[in-house]
Amino acid sequence: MRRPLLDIEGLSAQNAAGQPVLRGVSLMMGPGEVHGLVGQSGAGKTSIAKAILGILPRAVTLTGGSIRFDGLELAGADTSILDKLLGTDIALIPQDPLTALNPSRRIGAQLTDALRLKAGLSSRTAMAKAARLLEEVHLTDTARVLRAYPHELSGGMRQRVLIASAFALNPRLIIADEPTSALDVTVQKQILRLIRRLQRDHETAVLFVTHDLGVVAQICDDVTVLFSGAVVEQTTVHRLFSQPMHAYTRALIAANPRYDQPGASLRPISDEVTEATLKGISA
Amino acid sequence: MADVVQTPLPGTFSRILREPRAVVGGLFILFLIFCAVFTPLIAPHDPLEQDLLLEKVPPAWQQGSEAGYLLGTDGLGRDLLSRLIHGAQVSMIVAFVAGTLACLLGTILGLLAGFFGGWVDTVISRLVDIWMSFPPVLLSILLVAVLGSGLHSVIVAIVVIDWTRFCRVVRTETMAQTKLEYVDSAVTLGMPRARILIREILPNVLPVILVLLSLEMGIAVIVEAILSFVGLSVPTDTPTWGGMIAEGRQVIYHAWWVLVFPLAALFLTVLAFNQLGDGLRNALDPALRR
Repeated sequence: MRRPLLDIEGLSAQNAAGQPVLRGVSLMMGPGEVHGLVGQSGAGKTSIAKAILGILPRAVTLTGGSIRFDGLELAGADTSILDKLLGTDIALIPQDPLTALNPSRRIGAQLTDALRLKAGLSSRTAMAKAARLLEEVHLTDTARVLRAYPHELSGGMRQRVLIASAFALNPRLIIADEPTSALDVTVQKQILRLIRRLQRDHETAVLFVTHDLGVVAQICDDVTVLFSGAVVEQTTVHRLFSQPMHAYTRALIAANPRYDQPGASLRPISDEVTEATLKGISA
Repeated sequence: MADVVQTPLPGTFSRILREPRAVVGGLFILFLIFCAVFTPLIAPHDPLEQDLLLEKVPPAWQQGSEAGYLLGTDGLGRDLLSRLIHGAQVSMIVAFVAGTLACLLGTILGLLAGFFGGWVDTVISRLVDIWMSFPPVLLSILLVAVLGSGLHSVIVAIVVIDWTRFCRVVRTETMAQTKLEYVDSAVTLGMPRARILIREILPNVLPVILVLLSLEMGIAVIVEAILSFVGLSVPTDTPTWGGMIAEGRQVIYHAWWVLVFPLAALFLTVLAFNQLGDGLRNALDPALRR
């Protein structure tokens, strides 16, 4: 692997009650790679994403480990260091397009924030650049979208706006926190394809947080499977599906609904697997 | 992607205009402001001019009324209508100045407590708790007694007591907004915290503040009336509704109108502020806007 862009080592965190949220998570990403972070609800996927961005909720504290971005330590770093990187080098595609845009500000104003704040563009050039960004995410009638308030756009359009905003300053790392889970299936597919294409065009590394293995198969190069805050398996996407090593991973794959077999019933992850995995990571 | 909603967003202003309660309440307040500003032009008589030959003249539609005294006169022969119009001046000044100042103080502290949390929140919240355990009317009487009577003291008393209303609500609302993802998005753009608070969060808290402000103005009018009723507001040579109610109370069995008209003015004013507040709530509530 080339010099890692993102190098997380032994990252641990706990909540206010002292329960572990992350248990020594390590993962590494090279430039331009797409890395999937999968696991069920509460596995700590989003906590890792938020730890990188420095937006962990107040109740969650990091207790150990390091997050290095291009050699620069981010865990416990001063907010001024992070503020300089955020937007320009690291960007976020948030989970819920409904709440991720400020309801009382026009799309144009929100999309130009980073361009004016970080790239120092005048509001006129920033607006022109914003229009080009919207074209890049296949939004037509950009003038009208820029003038619109978030509630005037559909969920898919809002997510496109947020993707445009994330790619605005051509960052080296984008953290996509379940960007498709609030969208319906057909829109999901378009959005995934869009992220994939932009990622290739801009050679951006993407840390893709999701609970959907189907999404992982479509977009990721490498995968980290999390369970209860610990890494249970780390491999390439190809090997994840062809030869999953861990029993939990196999159960997770089997639990994915099969649309090609309409009669097949869902196979939830059994309690035995859950308990065995839990025992394995706390040992 | 042609699924942009076709109808343009109706502006905030036109949404307010479609709320009958906001319109009726607002018009009445505008009328009062007009009275307060152009008092000398509208008032038919000098409000202090006594004429003991014309004492307790009933309103125009009653037997024994005098021409030129539409609402009759009080026990000293002063024109009630003129005194009501002059009284509106004090009420409006108190409503707008005291209301706005209480709003500013409470909003600033509430925004800080809700956004920064931690010890900032603890200090401000405990302060509010302690503040709110004083009985408000007694506290205001005590304050005016200490500061000395006068319009300034009345305003200070109202601000000092009522900022907590704003603080509590704004704090809760700010907390709720701070948890929404758009704030995280702003943080991940590296936007400065002060800018996030003012440019991103404040506009979403503003509707609540406006509604509260309108209700607070009604409360300020009542508090001023209470203080004038007990003689702790402006000097007695300035007509106030509370003072008129106090005078009317003494002659209630001979001349009901001396008590009833200032009471009605007070009642309608507070009702108008409350209706305006409720109307604004309906028009501006972000939850209903979606």
